[in-house]
Amino acid sequence: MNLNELLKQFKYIEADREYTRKSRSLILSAKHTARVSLADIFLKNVQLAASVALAGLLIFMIVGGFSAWRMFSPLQIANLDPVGLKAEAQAIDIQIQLANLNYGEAALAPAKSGESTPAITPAPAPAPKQETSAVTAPALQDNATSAVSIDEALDKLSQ
Amino acid sequence: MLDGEQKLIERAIKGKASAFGSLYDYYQPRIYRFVLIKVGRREEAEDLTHEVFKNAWLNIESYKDMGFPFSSWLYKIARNQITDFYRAAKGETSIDKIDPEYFAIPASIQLDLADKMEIERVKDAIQELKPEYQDILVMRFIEDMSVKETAESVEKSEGAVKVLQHRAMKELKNILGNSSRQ
Repeated sequence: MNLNELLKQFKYIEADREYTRKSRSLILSAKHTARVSLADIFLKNVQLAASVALAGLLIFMIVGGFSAWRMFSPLQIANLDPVGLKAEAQAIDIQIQLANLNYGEAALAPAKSGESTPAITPAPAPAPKQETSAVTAPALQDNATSAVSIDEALDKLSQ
Repeated sequence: MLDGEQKLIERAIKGKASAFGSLYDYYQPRIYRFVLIKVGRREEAEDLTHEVFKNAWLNIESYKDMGFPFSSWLYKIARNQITDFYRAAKGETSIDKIDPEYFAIPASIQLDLADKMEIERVKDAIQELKPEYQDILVMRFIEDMSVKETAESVEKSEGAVKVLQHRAMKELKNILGNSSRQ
């Protein structure tokens, strides 16, 4: 036999059949054992669920923004309600204007009650609030006068 | 190449043991021969071949079809396994200590005594070759792989394979010539 033919003879070398059978079954069962690990499956599922939930929340927050938060959250954040804030701001403005109005009426009341008194009476110096309200009280008793004054004041304000 | 190999690989990647079993049945004899010719001992060849297929099965998800045959992936694992084996056994095993009884041509093959002796001599000569030459000789002359397939398996160009094949045969003839003179 020449060298090539001798080398071809090596092709007939084969493993022991019993070894092949055992090795095959061991190898194929190796992965099966590794796969049936319940802890791994559970862990993988938890990881998957957590990542999906977080990704969903992130997308929801980006798309929906704070309006979604306002709609669905049990904690209402007043600072994030522009309509409420606007109404509150307007109410403060009106209260300030009404306070000024009361102050003006109080100043005019003594002038209207006495005819002999000069028409233009200097406004009383800033007095304690209790004193002002004491002066205002009789002025409010004159309903017609005060009503006219408020109307005039509102007209001025509206202008 | 095995018929329907691509589908078998795809199914094996999905975890179908039966598909990998078919791949094992087809490639195990080749890998076993490859390992046995390189390590020389039947027991060690069996252990290493078992490890090769076990690693292949456990890591089959990492196999990517890059246009190379599946066998090239298995040969690569086998070469790494043999390298690790020699590294671990460094200083413990040498070719001189190899027991010839472990390298046995099956009784089913009818050869006269002179042929059997010649085969033993060739086997000894192959084991004296560099691992690179061994790989080429086994793939080209024993497994009848094409130059292209061999080149893909050893990750070299086809030209390099032809050159290595020529050198390997020359070296083998030299060793055999020297042994016959002794």
